[in-house]
Amino acid sequence: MELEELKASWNVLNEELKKQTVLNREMAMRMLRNKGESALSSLMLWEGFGVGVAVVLALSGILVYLLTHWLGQLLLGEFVVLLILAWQLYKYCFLKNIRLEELSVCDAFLRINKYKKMLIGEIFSTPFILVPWFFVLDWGQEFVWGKWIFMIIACLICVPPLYMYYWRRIAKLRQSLEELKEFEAE
Amino acid sequence: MDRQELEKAFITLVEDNKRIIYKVCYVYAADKDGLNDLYQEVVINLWRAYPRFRGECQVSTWIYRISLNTCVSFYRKSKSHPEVVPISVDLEAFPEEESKTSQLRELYRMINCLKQLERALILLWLEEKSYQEMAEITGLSSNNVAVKLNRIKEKLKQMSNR
Repeated sequence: MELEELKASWNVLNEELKKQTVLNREMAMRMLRNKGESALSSLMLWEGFGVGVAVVLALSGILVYLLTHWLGQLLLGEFVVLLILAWQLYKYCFLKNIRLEELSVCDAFLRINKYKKMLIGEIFSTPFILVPWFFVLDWGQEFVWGKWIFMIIACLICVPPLYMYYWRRIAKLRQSLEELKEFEAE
Repeated sequence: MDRQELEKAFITLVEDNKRIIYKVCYVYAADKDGLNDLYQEVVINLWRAYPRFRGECQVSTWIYRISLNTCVSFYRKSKSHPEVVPISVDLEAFPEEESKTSQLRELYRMINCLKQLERALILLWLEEKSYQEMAEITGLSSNNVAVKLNRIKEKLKQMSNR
């Protein structure tokens, strides 16, 4: 098919669309009334939920201190929760600042891939944060082999499949970023 | 403007530009169900952006930008919409022009072989947008648009010769 034929086919589509309804007022109204969220607002809801959970955890820590006056590892726990809260807020604001009408196609493509990078980084770094945290929380307690064996086995069972699942997403992400690089190169 | 008036104005805008939205979704959807879902996703994103639209650019540019950004970057299948409103298009309904139907299918097959960003550019070319407009929507320079378009056209030519 020559390029002129390509354009001619496109004009066929144009002409057919002029003859058909495609969308009327009633259909458009139903689309707005549907209780569906766009993919972007679904992501924001999810991150907003994470912010909420982090706030509840932080407040719970303060409540525990007020009731028990036990500081110790609680302080470390609160510190980690505040870090999580800051990270969640950062992701939420990152998504909130995405305005599809203001971004060019390349910029929007870059932003979503940046967000995907953040999520993948989060998944991969979680075991490296949780394990030392577990260690520090256990500091000063009586050493119990069972606890540590359980933790090691849990990591061995959960972490490799999680990493394998996300490995495919990393490959896809890499492909997308290469596509963007190629597209923007002069 | 209260919500009802805003909705009314928005629906008029979408009705006037429904074919643009359809053509963008046509290029990116894998099948008819996907097209319906994608169309609805675009309309929802247009609605979210509508209160902020102050006419800084042409309406068609605004619609192309949001539609393309939705299709290229911000779409997830089926989980988003519990109820999808099917749009009313049937492109198989003209048997007396079988050659045109098969040309359209061939066009669709070839465009589907392109990468996401390439489809955006070829769509804008098919829509007879100027290089300047294409550059504004895609974020590339006008020179780069020209170079990229030539490469994509070459790619399509090779595809059609196989």
